[in-house]
Amino acid sequence: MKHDLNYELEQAKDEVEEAKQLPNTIRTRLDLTYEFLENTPPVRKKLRLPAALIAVVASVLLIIGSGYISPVMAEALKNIPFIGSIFLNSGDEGLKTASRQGMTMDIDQSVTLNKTTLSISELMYDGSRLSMVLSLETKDGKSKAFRSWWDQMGKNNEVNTIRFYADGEELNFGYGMSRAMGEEKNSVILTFSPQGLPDAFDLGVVVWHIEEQEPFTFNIPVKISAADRVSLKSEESKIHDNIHMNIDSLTITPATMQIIVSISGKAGQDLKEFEQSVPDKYKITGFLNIDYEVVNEKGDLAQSLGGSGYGSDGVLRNTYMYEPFPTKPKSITIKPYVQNSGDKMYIPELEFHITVEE
Amino acid sequence: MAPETEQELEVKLAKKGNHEAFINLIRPLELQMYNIAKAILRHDEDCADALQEAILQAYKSLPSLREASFFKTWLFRILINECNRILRKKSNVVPLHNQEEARHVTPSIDVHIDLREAVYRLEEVSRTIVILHYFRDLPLRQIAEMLDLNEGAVKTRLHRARVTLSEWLANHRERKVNL
Repeated sequence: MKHDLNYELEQAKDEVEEAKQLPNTIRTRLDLTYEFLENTPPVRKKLRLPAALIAVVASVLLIIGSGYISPVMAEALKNIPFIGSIFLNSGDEGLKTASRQGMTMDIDQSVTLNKTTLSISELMYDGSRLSMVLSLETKDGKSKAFRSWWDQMGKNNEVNTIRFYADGEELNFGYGMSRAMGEEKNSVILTFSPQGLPDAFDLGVVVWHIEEQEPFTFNIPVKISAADRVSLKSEESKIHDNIHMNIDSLTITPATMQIIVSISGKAGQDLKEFEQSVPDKYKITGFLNIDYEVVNEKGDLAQSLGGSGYGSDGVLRNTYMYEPFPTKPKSITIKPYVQNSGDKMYIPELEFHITVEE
Repeated sequence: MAPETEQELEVKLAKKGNHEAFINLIRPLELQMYNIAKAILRHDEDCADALQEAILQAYKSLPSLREASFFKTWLFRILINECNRILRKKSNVVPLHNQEEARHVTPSIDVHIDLREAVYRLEEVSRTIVILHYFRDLPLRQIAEMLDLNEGAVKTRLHRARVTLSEWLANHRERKVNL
């Protein structure tokens, strides 16, 4: 009998049947693997930061006590360098959500002056706020803590500054700086709430440090992230103690909840007159100092992310940012209050209630 | 620029640390992954190990994936490497001194060894090509992509493997007859 190769190969193939369904043992192992993944810190694209900034994370959870993860792999996972997203690891809840939902941009721009390199790596712009990661590296490779480098003050009380520009025009908004945690202490997250910016623009970031005496300049094309936005306006006006208050807008994205509040005095009153007319209990060091609590229909309090504002033409317009609620709220209550060294004084007459459901 | 496909979007999200997106990419490929592992490793327990290690390895190596459209090929490449690694480890288990024994034992074993065993004795790359092409009907072009070889190289190896297998077959059959 002549056995030719092709025939033999066919025979051999029949013995290695193709399965139409996964056997239970395989199904179980896959599910265990997915479960293990869910509990590991995320690994993503290496930020183009020099090796000195990358530290080793030694504390990866190894949950599956039944021993399904091979010791070799478990060891390997323990030694993954910390190349995670700083938004995801150190950002507020809104930034964490933004990172997971793909709302963030990878920037990877670096500027080096003498012995210092500054980098901007991640950025998030959802129309309600702009956050970015700024990192520092010094030539000796030491990842110096950003805040200690930044908080130095020069002789003559010179300070370090960061200025922002959109399409060439300087933005007059205050910004917040929050430290990244743990291994990434050489990084900070800058956040500000731009008003009236278009969906796409060129962002200029100019960092001035007293040591370098020269600006670090970045030019970043920014695009609004594609995400659900709920934008509400309220026609209501409330008045109490000559404080005329309006909620200009309430905007909710997966990353940010933003309210814009306008305050003014009687019609025609300029800001100076207005502030003088308001009782002292609303002021701190002579200036009106009202903050806002934002709660949903369940009474959950939203975490504040800061705010900024300006006054012109007799109107104070302030923007406040909050972490979004974990689930979309049915309604929002804005509760103004004044905090005077520990005591919180609410102003129920100026409380606003806004329905969010469409 | 063409709009992103769903796969491209999922890969992007996975690269940013979205576990769910990564798992969504793997799920539709589970059965095929198992069938490839099975063809190379044969035992389910080994297959389970290979799948697990390959998935974790892939997750760790996501930064190295450049084109979202290559996700499947890239993933299968990792899986195949993992399968072969397991095979290598297993074959290392046979201590050298057993070769003496093997020579005595060989004649009777030879009778029962069929072509599959011969395939498994081929050198790793050729073995993989034969298994994927003849046992799983994968086209040579796809195999080339998975093994990161050009198609010509794959064809050459396949041809040489066929020659080796034919020779082995001829010798084997002859010996069988002589017994």
